[in-house]
Amino acid sequence: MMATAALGLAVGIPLGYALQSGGFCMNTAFRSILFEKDRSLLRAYVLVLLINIVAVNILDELALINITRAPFFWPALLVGGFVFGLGMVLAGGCTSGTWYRASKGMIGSLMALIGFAAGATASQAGILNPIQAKLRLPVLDVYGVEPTLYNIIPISHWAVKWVVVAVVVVLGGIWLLRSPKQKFTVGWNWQKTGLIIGVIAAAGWLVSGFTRRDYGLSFTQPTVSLVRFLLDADSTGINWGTFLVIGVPVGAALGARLSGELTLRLPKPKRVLQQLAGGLMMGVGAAVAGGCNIGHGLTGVSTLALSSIAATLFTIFGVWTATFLVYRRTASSAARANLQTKSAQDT
Amino acid sequence: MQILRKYIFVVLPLVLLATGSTFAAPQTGSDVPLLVETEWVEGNLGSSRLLLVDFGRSYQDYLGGHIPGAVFLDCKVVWDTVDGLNGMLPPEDSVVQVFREVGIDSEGTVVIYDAAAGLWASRLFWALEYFGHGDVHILNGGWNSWQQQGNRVHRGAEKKPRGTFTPKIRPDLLATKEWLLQNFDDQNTVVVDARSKKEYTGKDARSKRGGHIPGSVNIDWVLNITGDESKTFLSDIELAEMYDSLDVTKDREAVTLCQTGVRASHSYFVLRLLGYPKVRMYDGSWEEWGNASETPIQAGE
Repeated sequence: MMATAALGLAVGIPLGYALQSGGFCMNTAFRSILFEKDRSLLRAYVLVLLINIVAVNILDELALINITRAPFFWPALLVGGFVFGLGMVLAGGCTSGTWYRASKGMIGSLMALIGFAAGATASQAGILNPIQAKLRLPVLDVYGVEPTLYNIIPISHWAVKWVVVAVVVVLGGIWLLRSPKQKFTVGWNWQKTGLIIGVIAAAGWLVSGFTRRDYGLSFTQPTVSLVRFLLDADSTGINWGTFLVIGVPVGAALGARLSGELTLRLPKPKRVLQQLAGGLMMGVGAAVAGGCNIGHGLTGVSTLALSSIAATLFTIFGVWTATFLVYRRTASSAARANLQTKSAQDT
Repeated sequence: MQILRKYIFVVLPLVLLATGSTFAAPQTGSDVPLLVETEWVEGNLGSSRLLLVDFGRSYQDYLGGHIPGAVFLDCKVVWDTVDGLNGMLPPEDSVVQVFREVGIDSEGTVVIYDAAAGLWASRLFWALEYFGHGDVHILNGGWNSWQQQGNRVHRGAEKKPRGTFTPKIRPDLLATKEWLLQNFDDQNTVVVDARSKKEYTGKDARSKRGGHIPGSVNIDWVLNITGDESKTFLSDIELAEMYDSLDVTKDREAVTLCQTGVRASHSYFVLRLLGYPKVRMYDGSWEEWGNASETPIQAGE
């Protein structure tokens, strides 16, 4: 267990540092698809994905890691993903975003994090579990194996996988190469953020594999395992992920300290409650779907698992829906809408 | 870096807490009895050396509630139709792969439980011992006892780190039809028929031919357990008396059988529990023996 702890922290601390320094938030990234001109965080996310789609599949091919994927329990993926997306907007950040913002002193995000932990544990292990179980009953597979972007193609040849990988990477790469220059950078630019987090994520698969946990970065199950340990002295779920998630706030706080961004910030009471509620929704959604923006959106999509792609798509829909609803309420002042976004992110 | 120091004092205890709880090491495999009680499992729940396996129930039942930390294995993993014969051990490679996927290592303590008075648990027990695992145990009373005592349950699937199990086949724990044909009437061998009396006499013929292997002793598996709600095994003394009085003695090589090798596993487990030095389980059981044409059969008592 000591080895697992050390290996988890070894990836978690740099991850936290990178999340903070790059301001990596997928709430902003997803929102920017429709609602904003500045798509730099979206670019960072896409770069992380492209690096990992290649790296993870090659590592698996070389048997250096062992890919596992979430089952395609589609009601859970769609409902959970959507609710997670809704919650993200209220909470002011995705899971990883909330973790790093809480670590730099943003108390609103800390409340969102507590909500996330509570919601996820309630769904995974508590009174909401029957709902989670019900939503996960219908499962679709491809000849007994989890559906992927390539195994649903009715040609059974090993090269099909690599053709799909190549197509995705080329399309994504072209889009990235055609990016305009990033105008305003605080901290890292999107290329640096995407590259560093991309490498950490790929390394995460390898290091996690040393502890025989066959997955990459994830936040949801590790959070639940931590809560169960703290509240129940139940250590049965503690693994590499638990220590990854302990390391993130350490690295993020360190990064914030070094860049002078470490200060306590408390938003207005109504906002704090909003973030708590958003966090709760995020927790429930992520637990039901079997992953959050990292577990599904980053790690799962890298394996080209349809379950993760579906969950992530519906998370994006949830973000758009909540963003639209929030803006509609403040439609009286369009200019204020922009300011709202900024303050939402900073609280 | 004063603030950093503050964080270290928050994080370090957390880390130590997490690791410290798993320092409570359980007894090693050699000390743990083959049949463990719920109190023992309760006390060792958090140990990283313990792997609990929920076997013989449906996956939905498992998701609805299981012993904290337990992983699930389907019956088919070690009991399937192979080459037209029902209730056989599947090919070695596929079984070992599943064992590894679910988290079974070569070292570490495996405790199996079911909701069937140990009937299914003993099938997996036999399979693991046959594959060379030296630290397998069964929970006395299984899921029923665990629930009766009001212990904590977990819902949903559990995922353990991938296992490193490496098989070391124990052919001395398996009886084949050929081996039995050669040894069934040897004085040093005793065949224990764990089926019902009706099946033993041939009144209930579940294969082409009914009856029993000549010279075999009928000890219905249900005699191994108490008749009550707890679904626990009889005490060692009662069991020893029962088997001994029917000439199933420790100086002989015991072979258990039933129809498909599940009840036979239960009796196999009991004989192992009682410390019989030579025990085998006939996996083909009556499914094979009764459907073959050249095998000697005796009907009636």
